[in-house]
Amino acid sequence: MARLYEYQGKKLLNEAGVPVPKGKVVLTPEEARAVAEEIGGAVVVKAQVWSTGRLKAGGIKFADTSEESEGEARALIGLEVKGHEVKSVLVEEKLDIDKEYYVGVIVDDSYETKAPIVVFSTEGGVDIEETAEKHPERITKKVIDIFKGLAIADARDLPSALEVPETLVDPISEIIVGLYRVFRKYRASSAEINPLVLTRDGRVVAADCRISIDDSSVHLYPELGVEVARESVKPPTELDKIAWKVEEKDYRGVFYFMQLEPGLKGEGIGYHGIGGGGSLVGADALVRAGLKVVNFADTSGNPTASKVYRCAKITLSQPGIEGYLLGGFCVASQEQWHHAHGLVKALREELSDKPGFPVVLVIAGNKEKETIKILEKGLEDLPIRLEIYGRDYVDRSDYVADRMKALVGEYRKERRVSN
Amino acid sequence: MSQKLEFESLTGRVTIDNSICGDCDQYECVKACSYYGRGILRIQGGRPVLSVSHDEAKRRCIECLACEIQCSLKANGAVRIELPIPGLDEYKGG
Repeated sequence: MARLYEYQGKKLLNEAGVPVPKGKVVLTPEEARAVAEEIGGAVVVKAQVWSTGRLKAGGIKFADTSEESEGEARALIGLEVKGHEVKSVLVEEKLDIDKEYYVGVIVDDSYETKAPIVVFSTEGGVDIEETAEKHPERITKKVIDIFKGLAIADARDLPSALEVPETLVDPISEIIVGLYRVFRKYRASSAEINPLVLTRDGRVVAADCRISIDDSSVHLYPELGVEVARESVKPPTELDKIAWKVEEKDYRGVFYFMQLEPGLKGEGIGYHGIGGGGSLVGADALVRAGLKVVNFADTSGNPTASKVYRCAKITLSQPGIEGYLLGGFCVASQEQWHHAHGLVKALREELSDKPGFPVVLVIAGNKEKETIKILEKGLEDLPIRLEIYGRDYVDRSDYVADRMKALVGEYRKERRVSN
Repeated sequence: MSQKLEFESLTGRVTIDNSICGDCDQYECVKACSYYGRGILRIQGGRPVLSVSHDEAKRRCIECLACEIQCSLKANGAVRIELPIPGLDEYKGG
């Protein structure tokens, strides 16, 4: 799921007829001041980061004047909010809140449903999960027939089922229909307005929103400017973007890559797994062994050797890594020799001038014996610390991680001596 | 006959340098293509050549890289496959 920033989501909502606060996203304090002047009156300055709980984390500020808004924007831009650097802020009119609601559309993929559902609650501004636990009576849901869509008459059932004043049923229902329209038009995997605010002057406005687009649909909407069509809690790093370009238009197997510690230099393991679940097993084992995992990568779904090659090259390009683990902690049905050929090419290109560099390869599955022979033969003249494990080790991730730790220890010692 | 066989794959470029092949009669590249790939190479006049058109080669080659690796391991290392990764050199240089 590719997440949109709040300002992007609000633009889509606005286009679908959902009222949103007056405002604009800006990159500089001076622009923030200009927008505040245009709006007039008190404004709110909101850090545009993919994170909830921004208010408590200091990512949302209030300003009574345009001068104050400039100061607040200056304080926010460049600041780190919940681990995310603030690069832009949304300057909006400050709403005089009377009541907060919640509305969301999600995909219920359970066997019984297999359809989008709309969730409405009279408790807004808090996580819907929290409301579901504490006040389930304040939530109502409706399953949507994907072929019929959501008519206004159906949407009315939601607020009408709860304690919502009669005068608000229509405006809220129209907003629910608008939200569903955005959900469908942009093939979202989820779309939420939280809170949906009733102001003291009687307006119903989407004060905040969170919209995620299905990864496979992102290419249909270049206007959204999504750089990497992957679910993530953080914006992509430079290397993430380079890796995504490999995957973007090549559907032969899957190559997933995410840098976890982009700032880490001089320690950590470059991690390249095979198969989603098996990959996680290996990464977890490294962490348990006290090693830092600099990135998480995965090649699976019968990828080409060229894709495996590029994954290994990108993984090994991270500055200062002290080891490389191929974590094939599963017995794959695909012919693993494609992994072997890709790896041999990449490791030979990247590691011929890195004496002692620790490399541990775990690979199992179809054509495993031939695969291991290719790896052994192809890497035998490299000056690296190499250990290769087959199917007997797919359930021994802790042992493999300990071996990696031992090799890293030797490598560090060797480098200290040579320095 | 040209000293090099060159053709494009879907995301890269394959070059077989016949001057490096020398008197190689192993044809590991052709065997590898047949065994691991789609069999788009054949032997003609003692040299590996495409058994399909260049356009067809681009469509059929699965980029298994076996021709390069197997030639490198068992013969003269005459095959070179370029698989660009845009931006990576700049990243490493930075």
